[in-house]
Amino acid sequence: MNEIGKYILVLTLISVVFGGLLALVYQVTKGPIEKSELADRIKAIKAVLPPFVNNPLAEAKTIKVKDEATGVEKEVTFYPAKDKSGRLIAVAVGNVSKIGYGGDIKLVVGIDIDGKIRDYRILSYAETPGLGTKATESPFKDQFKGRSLKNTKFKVKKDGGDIEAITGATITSRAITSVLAESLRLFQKEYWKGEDPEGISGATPKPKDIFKKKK
Amino acid sequence: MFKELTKGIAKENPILVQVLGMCPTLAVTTAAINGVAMGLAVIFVLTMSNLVISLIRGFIPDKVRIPSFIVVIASFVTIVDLVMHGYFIELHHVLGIFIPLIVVNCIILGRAEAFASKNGVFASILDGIGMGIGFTLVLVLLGGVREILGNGTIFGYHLFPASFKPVLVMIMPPGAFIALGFIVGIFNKVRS
Repeated sequence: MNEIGKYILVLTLISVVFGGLLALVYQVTKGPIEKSELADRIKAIKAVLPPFVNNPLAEAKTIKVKDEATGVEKEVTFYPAKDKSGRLIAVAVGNVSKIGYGGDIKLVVGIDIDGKIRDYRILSYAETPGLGTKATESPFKDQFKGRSLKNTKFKVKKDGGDIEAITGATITSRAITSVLAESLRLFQKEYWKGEDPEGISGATPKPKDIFKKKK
Repeated sequence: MFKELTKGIAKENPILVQVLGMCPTLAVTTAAINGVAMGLAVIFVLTMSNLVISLIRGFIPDKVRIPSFIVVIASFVTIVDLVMHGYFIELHHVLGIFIPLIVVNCIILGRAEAFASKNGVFASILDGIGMGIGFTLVLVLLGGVREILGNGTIFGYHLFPASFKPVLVMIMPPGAFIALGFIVGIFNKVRS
């Protein structure tokens, strides 16, 4: 009993001391972490949108959707970019893929109002270093520029689509490809007022009402 | 005293001689820069955990030493993660994925068990730094070999004309075993 009591005491003490230390470090770093994540997000949003005059962050709109790949509920945020006359010119969609190789892949994708991808930035991910992490780099990333649901089959070539997968990281490539396609679909549903929700019906990809000033 | 620092680099190198920490060694060395990153993080955690464990070694009963060490190590790993995330976001983007891996790196627990729990504070710090440097050197070498052969680059710079076809298997998991096998083999040959 005496021995066991000592073990319990020592382990408890160590856990309390280090738990306290961690709580302290957490408190101290909480602010900076939030700040740097926000700064990161703003940087990503700016990078994927054309020049705008409004504040996309303040006008952001978050909706809850079911993830297409897994059915899990998740949040998707739209950051609208407007020009001087207040017209909507592009939208950055903050989305997350649930089917990455190493867990969730958070990204922001900029979409022009005609439904074409401008660019994307990955905010956080845990893909295989040197393989899946190439999803943030140019040969893979750049192939999405200008692609829309209309002109592209959003699948990797191995699955019969148009996207060149990263060698050795097919799962990551699939995850990015499908989350970009999903972002496009959500964007069209949200901003095309249902006129051409899939972008594949052959209807004009620029419905008039999207150029109207929003509300 | 000085030999506590240098023994980790060759004579008792954690990877080549002690063959500890194989999981991160094989997993992260797809590029030389990953080796540098992982190595630096390990040097910090290893030194800090050695320091603390040598300080509290008299106070920990033998039977609960392993959970105690793990709590200490995991705490430092979390601190590294939080601080890096808050203040060095760019570095965190590069390193972030490796940080949690350090907890399961048996070099840290191995050194806590084999050295820090039996030696004084100063010697333990030197041991931590030395072992960390030895680990880092091998990781960079392994990452460099795999990156050159498997991707045709070193630290991201292209070494060969575009017609060069890299041996892709080298950056895939089997390449890690092959490259490490050769490195350990050559090291043993040279040493003997």
